[in-house]
Amino acid sequence: MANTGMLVSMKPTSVDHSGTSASVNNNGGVDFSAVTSLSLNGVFTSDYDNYLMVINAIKDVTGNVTLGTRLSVGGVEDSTANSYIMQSLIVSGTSYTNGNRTTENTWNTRSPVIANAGWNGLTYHIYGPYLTQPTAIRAVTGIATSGAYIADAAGTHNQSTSYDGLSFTIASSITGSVHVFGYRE
Amino acid sequence: MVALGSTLIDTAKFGSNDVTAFYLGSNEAWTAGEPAELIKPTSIANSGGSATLGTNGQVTFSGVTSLSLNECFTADFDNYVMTFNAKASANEYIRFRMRSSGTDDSGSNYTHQYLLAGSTTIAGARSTGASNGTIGIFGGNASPSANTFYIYGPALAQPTASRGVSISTVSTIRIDDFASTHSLSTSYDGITFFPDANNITGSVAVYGVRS
Repeated sequence: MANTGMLVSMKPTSVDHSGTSASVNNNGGVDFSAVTSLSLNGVFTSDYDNYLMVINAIKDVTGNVTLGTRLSVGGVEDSTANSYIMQSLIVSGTSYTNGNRTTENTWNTRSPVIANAGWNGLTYHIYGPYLTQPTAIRAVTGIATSGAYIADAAGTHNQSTSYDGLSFTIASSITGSVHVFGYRE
Repeated sequence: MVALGSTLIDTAKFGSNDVTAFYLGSNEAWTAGEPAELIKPTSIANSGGSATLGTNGQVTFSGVTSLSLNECFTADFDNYVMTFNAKASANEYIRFRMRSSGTDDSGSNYTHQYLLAGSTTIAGARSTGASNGTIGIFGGNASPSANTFYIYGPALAQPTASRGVSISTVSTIRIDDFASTHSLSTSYDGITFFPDANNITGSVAVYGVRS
């Protein structure tokens, strides 16, 4: 069958995790339970420049936890110092002053987060991770903290390296699903 | 939809059971369909004006005060993206309610968080214990507003999260985004959206995204 839709499922070639379980499902997504780290290998290829990643997840114990993220190649994370820059946008009630910008060895600022207050939805737009150029990402979220909460982020990575995967490092375990899609060109 | 060779098959059965995926070997799915598909509701219902369900699933509406999409959420997809291109007869918040078997949930089970960016103004507000969530605000001028509405797990028996990302034509151009949650662990197969007052005209399409 000729695939003609806008999105292409990027089934990981392998998945690594710390915690209870993580496995690739028949659709090409990954279902995970109580993980504190999760690596999706082989989800970025030369076939596609830009990607969409959809996460539906919940933190396993009380509170919020940020979703630290790194790019990887061949299963090895890029931990170059000061290479990941991320701007957070948090809107909670009438407060929108908790934004923050960080420059670290991972995308790791105050957002996006996974909350225990309910199930959370996060959609990431990822631009050019496989290209030998800096990568940009944007996370758009609906978070269950305090009922409803916006915890978006925009990030850049300054290395002109081709990456084929990404990894999440989480300070507390989360459960849910994640699926990476390529935008057909 | 699945494929057998180069032929698309709408329904495949093994005995009396629907087949949702074919397998080669022990664990490789041949295909489970497109990773994202335009969903066609089984039916629609509207109050005021008129609404039409298109052949491929897009719904166009004119002058409606509410529009319900029935059975647009199924077990085939966990997450969905809805796209709106619409305007209101006057600037209006556009609300939504989860719907099951043709009945809306109007209980106090919704929370919504607002983010406004208009010119030099940025503002936020949260409503809890509400009887609806919010998609966005449609402007009442000639230019239609556009809204992409992400909704996560509505057909799963778990609380639902959503996010509306907008290009609002209120005050010419504005950002009027909303994050909403629905707290019940109930599976819903449809959704109703409506303006606070007045009526809306435009189109909406629902896309399922496989997990």
